[in-house]
Amino acid sequence: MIDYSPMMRFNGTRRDHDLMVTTVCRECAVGCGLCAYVSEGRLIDVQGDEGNPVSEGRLCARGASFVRDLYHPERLAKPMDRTSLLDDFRELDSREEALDLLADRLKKIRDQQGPESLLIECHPAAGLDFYFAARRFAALWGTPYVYSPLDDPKSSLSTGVRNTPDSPCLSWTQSRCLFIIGADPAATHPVAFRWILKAQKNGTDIVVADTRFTKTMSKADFALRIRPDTANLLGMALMKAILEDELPAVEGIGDRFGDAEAWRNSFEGMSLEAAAEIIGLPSMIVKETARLLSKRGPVQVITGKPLAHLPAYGIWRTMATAMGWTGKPGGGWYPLDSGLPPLSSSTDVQAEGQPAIASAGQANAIVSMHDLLCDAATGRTDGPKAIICSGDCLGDLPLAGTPHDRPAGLRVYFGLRANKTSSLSHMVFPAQAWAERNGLFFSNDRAMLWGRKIVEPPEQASSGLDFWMGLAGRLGWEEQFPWKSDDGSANHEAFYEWLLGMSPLTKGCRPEALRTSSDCGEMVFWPFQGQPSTAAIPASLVSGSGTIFPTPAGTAENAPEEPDELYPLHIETPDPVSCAAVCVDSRLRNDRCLVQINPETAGALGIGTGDDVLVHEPRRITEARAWVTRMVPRWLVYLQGSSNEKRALVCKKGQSSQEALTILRELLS
Amino acid sequence: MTDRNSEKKPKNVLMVDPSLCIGCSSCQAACQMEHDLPACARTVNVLQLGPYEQGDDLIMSFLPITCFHCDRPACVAECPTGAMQKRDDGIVFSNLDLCIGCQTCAVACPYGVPVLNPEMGKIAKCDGCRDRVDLGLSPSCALKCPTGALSFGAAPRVIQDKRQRVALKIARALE
Repeated sequence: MIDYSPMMRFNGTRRDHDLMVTTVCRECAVGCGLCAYVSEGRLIDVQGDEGNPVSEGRLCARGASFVRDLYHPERLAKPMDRTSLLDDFRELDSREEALDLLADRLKKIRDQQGPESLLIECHPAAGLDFYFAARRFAALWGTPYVYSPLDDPKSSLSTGVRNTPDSPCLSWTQSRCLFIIGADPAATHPVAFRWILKAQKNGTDIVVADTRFTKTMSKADFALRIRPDTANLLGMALMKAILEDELPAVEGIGDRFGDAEAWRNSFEGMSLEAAAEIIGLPSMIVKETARLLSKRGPVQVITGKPLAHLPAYGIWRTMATAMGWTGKPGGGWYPLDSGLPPLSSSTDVQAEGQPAIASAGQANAIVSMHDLLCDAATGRTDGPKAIICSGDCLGDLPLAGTPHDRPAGLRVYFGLRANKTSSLSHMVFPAQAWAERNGLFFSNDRAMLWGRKIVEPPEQASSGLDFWMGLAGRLGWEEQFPWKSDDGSANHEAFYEWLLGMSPLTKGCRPEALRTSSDCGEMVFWPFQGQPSTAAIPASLVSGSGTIFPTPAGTAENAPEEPDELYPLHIETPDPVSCAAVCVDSRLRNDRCLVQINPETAGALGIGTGDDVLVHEPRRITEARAWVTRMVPRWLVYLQGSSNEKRALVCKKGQSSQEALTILRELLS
Repeated sequence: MTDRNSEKKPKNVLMVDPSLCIGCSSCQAACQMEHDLPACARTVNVLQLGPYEQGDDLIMSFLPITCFHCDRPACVAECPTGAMQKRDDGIVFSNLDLCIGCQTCAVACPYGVPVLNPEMGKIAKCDGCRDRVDLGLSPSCALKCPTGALSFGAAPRVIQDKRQRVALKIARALE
């Protein structure tokens, strides 16, 4: 064999600095190691940490350029307030004054509309402390409406282990086949994707199934282009094909499930041909893929977060277990962006008979939350009247750009920079960036890491925990939020120590121990078993998979889709968790919102790359710039933004929507 | 030319392996952050080629394009103020103290590499991370590239690396 040693890399900074902070990047869930260089309190350079086993000194575009957000000219400096959306903002002198005002307004709304009038949206960028403190606050307040794209609607506290990765991404190199479904890690998690390329170099087959021809698919050995929302049905069809052909991998299935026979029987009534038609693949291709997966085990199944919101999500855990991949090096299931343990910050304060927080156990939590937001923001129903949000959720709603004033409503934005949502809010609170606060971080790999603060935050910026603690204090819930430092600010270490103690899966792990272990280059995984591990595959990660309840056939039945008369095209957008990562390209290029259109569709409509187009959806119209590409099939457009719709109509600016509709009907018929 | 530039330096090479490039633009971001450039000043362009139809399949690849540090650079020859210079180690760079932002270099360059930094009114171009290289550090783009598509080093070492990679590929195919 050829003796190959990679070329030497020489890391470090050329800039004069007086402090170097080793920490973890919290832009996405990969958990890359960072060396941050600080001079006179200002972050001046960022390099990758060569000692981090996952990133090995590499950084993606987001990790390299987050500094821009810290010192951006549009960064919010002071809390602001206005009584009407038609007024200009008034800067407030202090955070305390702003919180007093907010507490008074919230109390008034609760007195008039009841506790369920409050809706809270938690963006991942606001941090875990904002999310968990918000859930605790909501439980005390009595509202079930807390939304976060991190939530897994199919998971609950008792089954949380099932829907999380089996082993770290480092183990992908030991796999014989990586099956990636509905995910584009090359765009969303580039540093983790290098482990996929490393595996491919070792002879691992890369099979990718997705609606679009993605960056990940461009590196695949086998590509399957499927119809929208049929990814889980594809898993079901593959399982059917494997069982039908009696492929050797399922021989020991009786030992892997409690009631394997009943589960097997559930597939008898399923038609592979009908499923394949809905998925948009010939049944022969489904059978060939099933044979490949069966032959090339152990397979690592990597799924995207949007699949968690489709029926029969459990099929991937079922498949990995049924085929005997779980527990083998390089085999099992790796759902992306699902490394968060099932922690609860509200069970001890949840009153009896009070509605539980909405996200847990609700089949369509994301959809219902979006609808609630629409209703609340437009004042259409008796739904929530007060919205506290930390992302740009209002900017994506149909009312964006139309500053209606709803006297009964209250919209509060907590964030780093001004955006559409802040322009549609009554109150604005400047937030700390992750680099400005200490915090616990859960990586995709189920590693628990301690993220160190790099620089001090601006004076008026607060952390999520500070915000909710301040608000809770004004409502008489100081005892339920006892994590105060001597200087009155939030003690994040004490908060996370309490939080970790709330779950048997993380109990006993202390932030102090996490800090020490990161300094030694060791990783601590959950379920916590007392010791950090330097091993690539901690055995603890697969515990809990033996007691799964297999997902039977029939739970992913999709009806063949009916053509939509008014909106003939399908529309897809990045999922909210990875949206920022996908859009980093356009952010770097200062481009406006891009929409991908197939050349055939674009040609029929007279659209060329760079043209201004209008994307009509049932509840909004978005202006975008066209990118004519075969990355999308002719029946699909991909909008680099956020949307909750499934159907759209696209026309060139100046072209009538009726004309475009006629052309598209003819093209797609 | 400064004394530092007149010293004999070993020639380094930046190798691009398009088979590993995933079009993530990390090299572009790394360069912009290293040189305090605005988002619009693209000193590294990541080209997306395709997807093109090939039979029933589609193919797509990515290619990061930056300064080639030509042996006989047209930008250096045409620069009216002498701002654009070539060092002994091959690095072509623009001395911003002398640059007047006339963009003659951008016109002269056969690859259109130099771009105007509108915030400074001067040219932005890959300078091979000369300050980092002088300190013995790797250029920012090669260091941060998530997949290792960019590698940097002395020319003989880079060529050896490329040969080894190809040999490994053949050996694995024959396994």
